[in-house]
Formats: sequence, structure tokens, C-alpha cells
Amino acid sequence: MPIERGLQYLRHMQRVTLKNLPMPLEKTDKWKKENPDENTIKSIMSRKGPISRNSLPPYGIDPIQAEGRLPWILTVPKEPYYEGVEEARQYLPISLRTLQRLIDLRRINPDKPVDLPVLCNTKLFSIQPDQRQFGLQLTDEGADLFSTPINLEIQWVASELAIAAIERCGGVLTTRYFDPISLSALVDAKKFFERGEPIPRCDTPPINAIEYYTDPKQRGYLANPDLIREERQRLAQKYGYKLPDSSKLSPLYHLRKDPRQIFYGLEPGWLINLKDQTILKPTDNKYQTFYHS
Amino acid sequence: MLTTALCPRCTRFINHFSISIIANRSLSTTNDTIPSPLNDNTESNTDINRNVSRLPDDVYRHFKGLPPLEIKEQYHTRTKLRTLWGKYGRKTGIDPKLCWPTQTEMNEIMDDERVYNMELNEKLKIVKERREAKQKEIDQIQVKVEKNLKNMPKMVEDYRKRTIERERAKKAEVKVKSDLAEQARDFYGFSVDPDDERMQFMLLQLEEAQKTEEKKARKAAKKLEAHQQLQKLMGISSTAEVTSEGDAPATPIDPLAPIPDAKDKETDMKLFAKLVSERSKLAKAASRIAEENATGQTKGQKKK
Repeated sequence: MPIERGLQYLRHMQRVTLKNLPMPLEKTDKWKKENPDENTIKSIMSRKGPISRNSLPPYGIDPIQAEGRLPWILTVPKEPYYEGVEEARQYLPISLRTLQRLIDLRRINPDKPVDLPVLCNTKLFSIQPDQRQFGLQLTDEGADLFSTPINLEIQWVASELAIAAIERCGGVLTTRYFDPISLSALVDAKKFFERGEPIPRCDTPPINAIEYYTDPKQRGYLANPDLIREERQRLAQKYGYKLPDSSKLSPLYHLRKDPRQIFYGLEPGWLINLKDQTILKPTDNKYQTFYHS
Repeated sequence: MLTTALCPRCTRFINHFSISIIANRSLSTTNDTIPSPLNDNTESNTDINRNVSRLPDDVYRHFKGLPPLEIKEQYHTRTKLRTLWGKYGRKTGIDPKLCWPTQTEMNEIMDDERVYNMELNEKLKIVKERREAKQKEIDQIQVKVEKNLKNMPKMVEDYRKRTIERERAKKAEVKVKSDLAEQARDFYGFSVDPDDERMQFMLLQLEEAQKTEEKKARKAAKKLEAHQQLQKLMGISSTAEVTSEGDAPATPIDPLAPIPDAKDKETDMKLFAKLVSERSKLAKAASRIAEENATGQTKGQKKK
């Protein structure tokens, strides 16, 4: 307490005057630093920046360490809904309406099985396997208009309506998975054969997709055919149509591909020449077992 | 005489036989083979240059779809030779063995496939395991939920009671403190802080006053008991008179003392005591943890 200090001076000093006292009567810098005025603050601090504009980092961040700026981690916004975009598979859409239109304009022959290369030869779809595009998917649009029996093979189906629309007319649908390497062979078949490579064998789908392709509800190519028949009847009951007899269909509707096969009628490992119109097959045991496994 | 005749090489009816027609006519009726006058008279086919367009050779061959005559050195890689074979076929003279991978490459491919690509059976197993693990977790949680649902009503009632008690304790605390503050104000004449020494001084005085009161009450109660026993031994007075006589002298009424709301004050003090004990328990536990940490640090220092 300053009062006690003053009393001590009185006790110990001979003479007490204004000039003798070691206590400062004027306000020193120490005094100023403890209680600065607004004018001193303004003269010391900068006139620009977030501090002078009364805006500092949000609650929870040390403004001294942040130096008036947001920390780098907070400048970039968080978008957690885009988490799996870099690894997701893309499928280009094809609707039942376009299919019916192509059949009516005689760009597709419904008497033969309709496949990916058949649809890509119309040059309406540009599938790029580099960009994580894995084929085509069926959409709902035009389910009322569709009225031709067809043996379709497609890579993804999202709705039951599309499946029901095809089976009501007496058609058959299967979903199949293709590798990016085999996709590049299917998308442009003529270019692939001019490259002079043997037909590749298709890999099994990744673990993400196995549940989908073994599901009889989605008519996967790895599913049990008995379960698929049950699902066909279940769909017929749900949507209210009668399933036409499958025995009356031509044998082309029962054509299915092997899980390793890409083209109808051609096996992996064969060399094909369009100019000579020849097929060459390997005779070595090792090659045959590898390509046929 | 000029007559039209069918040329065996062309599809048109052209009269381009320069030889005598009579010979042809006779020949046409018989079944002899027709001679090939063109081959005898004219030059060999290979020497004739049918390229009438004034294009260079490479472009003409590309236009017609023929393979190139000479393969450049840049094209001596396997991929480019494969493309030539694929486009032009057998005429290029390339061996189709190039199109397949070699034996060593095949071995590498088979090893890679074995390591990097799983078979279908393994993938199906993994998918099954994941599905079952998920179901297990859900089942475990369901069992817990069903257990706890039976105890639900009981837990709800307990929670409600606890909240009511807590509120009461808080109110009691506030009441007790305000009462003490008022007493101190009346005692001293001005408002006093609860932390101050004067409050403690006042509380000590109150305790002493309470003790003296209790002593007096005990003495009065002892007197009463002795009086009652005497009367019993005498066997004269009735129980009703005893009770009526017992009430008046037992409680010495002080007009200045605070009027006690007996039940509320007891429960208020009890709740206040509970709160204080809880807080002291927490303080004791915290001090215990702090002591353990301190001992651990000191042990470490001692080892060093």
C-alpha cells in the first residue's frame, strides 16, 4: 500500500520533500502500459486489418497466434457430401424411350440380342473408360411406350419399373459387369480388332458391386436362375401383368454370356482379323487354361 | 460383223476381242475352253501401271487399303506391327505369333492375377463376413435395449425424484444463506459479506447461544421426568393433567428468538448439508487424484 511506504519514508529519512521522494509523481511507461488509453491504443495498433475493423477469428481460436487471419485449415470449406466421388463408378443413362425409338427407326435389330457394342455402334453414346465410366444404365422414362420383346444386356438398373416394362412385353434383362480393359474393346469393336490384340478375359466385379450382381432382384449375371424366375413372377403380381410363356420365345432369347466372355460367340484368347476374315486360336496348354478359367 | 459377246473376265457385254470373230463364234457353240487372248498378246499384269492418278505411291496405297511396301524402322515395335497385321492381314507378311504375349510375359501375368485379383469365392466370403458382422452388432444392441426397456418406468421415476430433490436443495441453500445474511445484518446493523470474519464471529456466538439453550432444555426435561416419576409412585394425578402441565413449563418462549418453522427448517438444513457433503466428496476425490499425480511425479524425479 502506498500509504505504508510513505510512513516508512517518514520514519527513516531525515528530510522529506517533493524532490527527495523516490516515488514517481508522473505517470511512467510502466503505468501507461498497465492502463492504456484509447488514443495510445490507436497510435500503436495498425489502422488496417481485421483488428481495426472489429473482425477477428471466430470463437475458439487464439487471435494472437492467428495474427488476425483465419488459420489455413479453416479457409478451405468442408464438403463431406462429396466424400466418395473420386472412386465412384459412372454409368451413362439410356431410357426406354430412346430404345423404342431406335428400334422403330431400324437402327437396332430386336431379333438379335442387344448388347453394349450394338448400342455403341449407333454412335449416340460416348463412353470413356478413363473417366471411371463403366457402361450404361436403364432409366424409367417411356415405360408406357415400350412394346417390343428384346434380349437386353445392361450394366446397371436402378428401378423396378424398367425391369417390369421389359418383361411385360416378353423380353429378358440381365445386368453385367465389364472391366475398363474389356470396355475399351467393346465400345469400339472395329478399332479393337484393328489393333491386333487377342480378346481379353473379363475380371470379376469389385467387392462393392458383388452384392448387386448376385442379386436376383436386379437380375445380376452371377445370381441363381431359379431365384430370378421367382422374382419375375413376383414383379408380374406386383405390377399386374401376365408373364408370357418363355418356351415360345426363340432360342436367341436364352443366350447368355459366360462370366469371362465379352462378345457373343467369341471366346477370350482368340485373334480375329477382319480383312482376312480368319480366327486364330492358341494351342499352348498354358494359354488355354488361363483364358478359359 | 460385230456382235456382242460375254467376256469371261468382266460383267459387261463388250466387244473388245480384236481377233476374228468367226473363230469365237465357232468356239462359243462348242464346249471347248475359251483361250485367253489377252494374256498372250499383252504384257504381264505386273508390269502394267494402273495408277493413273498422279498421287505418290504411299498415298495411293493408303487410299486403296493396301499395306505399305516397306516398313520403316520406327514401326519395328510389337504394337505397331500388330496394328499392321490387324489392318492389312496376311499380305504384310507379319507372323501372327507377335500378337500374343510371350511365355515369360504370360508367367508374369498369371502371377499378377493371382496376387492382385481375388477369385469369386473369396470375394463372396468377404461380403458374407461383413454382412454377418453388421448383423451381430445390431443384435447385441437389441439385447441391451430390450433389457433396459423393462427398467424404463423405474428409471424415469428415479430421475424425476432426483430432479425435485436437487431443486429443493438449491432453494434450501439460497434460503439458508439469505437467512444468515439477514441475521448478520440485524446483528451488526450493516450488510456483511459471507466470506468475512465477522460472519464466522457471529456464527460462533449463535452456536454458543444454541448450546446454552439446549442445556437449559435438557435440565428442564430432567426435572419433568423426575416430577412425573414421583407422581407415578404417588399414583394420584391423571395422565391428562400431566400432559397439560408438561407443555407449558417445558418450552421457554423467548420473544426475541426467531420463530422456527420446525419442519421446513429441519429439512432445509438437511438438504443443505447434503449438498455440502456432495461437494466435499468431489473435492476429496479431486484432491486424491492430485496427490496421486504429485506422488507419481516425485517418484519419477527420485529415480532420475
